[in-house]
Amino acid sequence: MHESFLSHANYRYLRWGLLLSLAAIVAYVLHRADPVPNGGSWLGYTLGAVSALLVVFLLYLGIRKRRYRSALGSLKGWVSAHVWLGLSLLVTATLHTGFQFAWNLHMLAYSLMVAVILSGIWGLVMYARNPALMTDNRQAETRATMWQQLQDLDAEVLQLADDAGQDAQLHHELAEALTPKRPAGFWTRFSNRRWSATAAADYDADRAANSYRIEQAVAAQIAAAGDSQQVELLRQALAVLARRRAVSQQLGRDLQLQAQMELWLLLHVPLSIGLIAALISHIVSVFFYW
Amino acid sequence: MRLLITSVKTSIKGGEIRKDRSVDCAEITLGRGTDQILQVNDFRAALAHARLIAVSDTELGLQSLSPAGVLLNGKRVQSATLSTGDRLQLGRQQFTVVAAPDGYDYAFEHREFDPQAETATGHGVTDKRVIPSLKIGRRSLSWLAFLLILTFGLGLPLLSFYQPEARDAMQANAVPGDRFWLSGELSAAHRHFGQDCKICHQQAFAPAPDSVCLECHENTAAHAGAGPVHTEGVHTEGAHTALAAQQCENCHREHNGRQLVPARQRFCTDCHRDHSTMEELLAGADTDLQPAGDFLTEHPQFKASLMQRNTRGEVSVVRLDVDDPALLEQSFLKFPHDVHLDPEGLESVHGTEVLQCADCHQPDAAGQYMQPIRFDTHCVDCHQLNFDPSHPDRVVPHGRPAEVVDVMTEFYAELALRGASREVGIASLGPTEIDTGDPGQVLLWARTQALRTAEALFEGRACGDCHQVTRTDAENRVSWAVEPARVAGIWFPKSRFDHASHQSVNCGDCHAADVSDDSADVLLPGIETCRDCHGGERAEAKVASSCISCHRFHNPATPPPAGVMPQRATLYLWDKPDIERTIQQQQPAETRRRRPGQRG
Repeated sequence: MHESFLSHANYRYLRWGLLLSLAAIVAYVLHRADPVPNGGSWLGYTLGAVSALLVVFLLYLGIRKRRYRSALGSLKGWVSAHVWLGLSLLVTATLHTGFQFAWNLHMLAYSLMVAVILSGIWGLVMYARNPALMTDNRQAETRATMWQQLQDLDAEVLQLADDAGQDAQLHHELAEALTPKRPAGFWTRFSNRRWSATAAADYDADRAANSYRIEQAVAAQIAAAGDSQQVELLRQALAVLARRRAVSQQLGRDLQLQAQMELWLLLHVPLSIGLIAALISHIVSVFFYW
Repeated sequence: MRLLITSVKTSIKGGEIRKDRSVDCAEITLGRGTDQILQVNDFRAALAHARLIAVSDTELGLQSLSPAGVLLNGKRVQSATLSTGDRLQLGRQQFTVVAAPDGYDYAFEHREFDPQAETATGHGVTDKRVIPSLKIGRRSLSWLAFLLILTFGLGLPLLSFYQPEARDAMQANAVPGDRFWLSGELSAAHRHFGQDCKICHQQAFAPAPDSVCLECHENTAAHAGAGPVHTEGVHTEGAHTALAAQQCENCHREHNGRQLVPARQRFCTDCHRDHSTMEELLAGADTDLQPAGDFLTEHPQFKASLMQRNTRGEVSVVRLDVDDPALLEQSFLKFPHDVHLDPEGLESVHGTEVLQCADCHQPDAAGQYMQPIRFDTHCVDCHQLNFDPSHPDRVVPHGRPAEVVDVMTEFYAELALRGASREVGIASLGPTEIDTGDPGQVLLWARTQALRTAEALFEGRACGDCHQVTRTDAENRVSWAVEPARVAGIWFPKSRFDHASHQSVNCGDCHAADVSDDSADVLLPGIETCRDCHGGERAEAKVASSCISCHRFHNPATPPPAGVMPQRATLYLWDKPDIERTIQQQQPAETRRRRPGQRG
C-alpha cells in the first residue's frame, strides 16, 4: 500500500518534531527570564541555535533532492523530516523571540521564516486536497478538450446568432462578449469567483460580467422574435451559451485548483532564499552588537 | 489600390508554405462575409467587421464596424493607425502589415491559428504552469531578495558602524543603517541613545562595557557598600565578593522594554530569603540583616534606627524592632502628642486652637519625608519666650543660654539707665534705688535681675516646659545646660517611604499620636500596619509590592549617623565667674537649692 511521506517510518519525524516542540515549551515555561523572556537569555540562545540548525537542515533538502545518488536516507524520509521538523521550527523560533516583536531585522527574519512555513503548510494542504477535487471536476475531460469545447461552442453560438439575427447586432454583441480582451491575470486565475463563472478561464472580469447580460440579451431577442424559426434558433443559442458557461466554469475551477497547488512553490523557495540572508544578518548583528 | 496578401501556413514537416494573391480594391474590408477583402473564417467576426483606409503610403487607418473591436498587437481597439509590423487579430485569423513590394500599395501576411495553438496567444490554458509567469524569473527573484536583504540587513549597518560619514549620510536620508539592528525597545531613560548604537556598542563583537554606564552613573552606590559602585564593585560587604565581578548589564538588560531595573522579587530573595545563604554571604560583616522574602509572608518586623547616648555621652545608633518595648526615643524633649492633639483645642494667644498633624508635620519638597520641626515655625505661637510680665512683647531668642542671659542683661541695663527699674515684672533682688550715674551699680542690678529671670526661664515656665535643663552650681558659678532635642530624622534609613503617595491615608491610621503621652514613644507603624494594604509581589487582593517598592539595591550599607541624625550634642554652659561671685553673695539659699526637674 502506498505510504505518504507524512507517515514515513510510522510517523518517526512527527514524533521527533513533537518531542522537540514539547521540550522547548517546557523549558520556556520553567525558564526564569529576567527581566522578560528574550532571545539573549541562555534559553534564548539555545532555542536560537536549535532553530538556526533546523533551518540549515530544512534548506539542505533543496540540495539533497537533487543528489540522486545520495545514500543518506531515502528522499521520502528527508521530505518527511522536512515537513515535521519544519513545523516544530515554528515552535522553537517563536519561543526564541520571547514574543518580542518590533519593526527590525530580527522581525524580518522571523516573518520570512513564518511565511516560508505557512507556504509549506499551504502546499501540503493543497497537495493533499486538490488532486481528488481536480479529478472530480474534470469528469474524464482534459484541459485541452475543455478548451476545445469552448472554441466549438463559441463558433456554434455565433453561427446561430448569425442565422437568427435580422441585423448583425446580436452577432456583434456575442462576438464582443466571447472574445478575450486580455489574458487572465493572476487574480482571475486564482479566484474563479462566482460572478466570473462563465469566463474565468479565459476572460477578464468585465467581460465576464457581460456574459449573463448576453444570455439575457438573447432571451430578450426571443421575446421580440418575429417567426418561429428565429425563435428556435435563438433558443438553441441560449442553450449553447448555458452549456458554454458550464464548460467555462469547469475549466476555470480546474485552473484554479492547479493555481492553488502552484502557489506554494512560487513563494516557498524565493522566501527561503530571502530567509537565508535575513538569518545571516540576524546572527551576525546580535553578536556584533553583543 | 493594389494589395498583396500572403497566406502563411505551417507544413507537416514544420516548414512554412506561403501563398500570395493580389487584390485590387477601393477600400480594404475585414470580416466574415464573402465580399470582404481580408476574409476571416471565424464566427467571432461579423460579416463586415472593420475597414482599413489609406492614410499615407505606409499607414492605414483602422475602423472597427463591430462593437467587438479588433485585437491590434494583442490589444482591443475600435480605431487605430496601422504601420508596418502591426498585427491585427480577429478570431483565429491574424493579419500582419508588411512592407509592400514594388507594384503594390500595401501588403499583408495572413496566418491562421489552429484551436490548440490559440493558447499561445496568451490564454495559457494548457500551459504546464497556470499561474501567469512574472516578468522576472523565480531564480532572479530569489537572488534579488537575497542580495536586497543582505544589503539592508548586514551591509548598510556594518557600513554605518565603520564609516561615521556614511552613517550620517544614511541618517540624513532616512536609510535605516544599524538602527535596523535595534533588537528591542530601549529603556525610557536610554531611548535617545538609540540614535547612535556606537554610544554603547563601542567595539564589535563585545558587550557594552561598564565604563559606558559609569560615564553618567559614577555616583551610583555599591550594593551594601559605603562608596560608589565603580570603586567598590557591586557588592563588597563582609567577606562576600561574588557580586564584585558582575557587570552592569548582567542585571540591567537593555533592549527589553522601558523598565531597566529588575523588579522581580526573586532577584533579591535568591540571596536574602535563605538563612544559611545569608550567613554565608554576610560572613564577617557587621550587620543585623535578617533573611527576608515575600513582603506578606516572609519579611521580618521593621527595625528602627535610634540614636542613643551612653553614660560617657557617646552617641551611637541602635536598631530595634518597632514592636520592641525597649524602643524609646532619647529625644531629651518633653512633648506629649495627646495634649497637643486635644480635640477640645488648646489655649493659645490666638484663642482656642485645635491642632492638626499637618500644622507641624509638613512634607519636604519631594513630599517623601517630613521636614524637621522647628521652634521658630511650629512652637513659638504658643510657647512664647517673653520673660518679663511687665514687658510681654520682649522675648529672648530660642538659642544658646548665654545669649539668652545677654539679651536680658542688656534689657534690664537699659531699664535701669532710663530710671525705670521699678517697672520690672519680676521682683527685684538687687537694690531698689539705683544711682543711674554709677555704671557699676546699674550693671550689677541688671545682671542680678537677668539672672533671677533666667532662673525662672530655664527652670520654670519657658525652657523647662519642653527641654531637659540641668542646673550646675559650682563654688563661683551657676550654669544651666539645656539638652538639645535629638529626634531621628529618618528612623527607617534602609527603606524608602513616600508620604506623598500615601496621602489618601489618615496620619492616625499609621501613627498613634493621639494616645501618646510621652515623647519617648516612637510612633512608627509596624509591618502589620503596612500589610493591611500591601501584599507580596504576586498579591492580588492587596497592593502588589516587591522588594524594590521600598528598598534600593544600590544603597550604602548603614548610613553614618551624621547623615540622618541632628548633630547638636554640644552642651551649652553659662559661665561668667566674675558676675556669679556677686550673684552668689546676693542669692538667697532657697533659690540655690533648686534642681532640674523642679518647676518654678
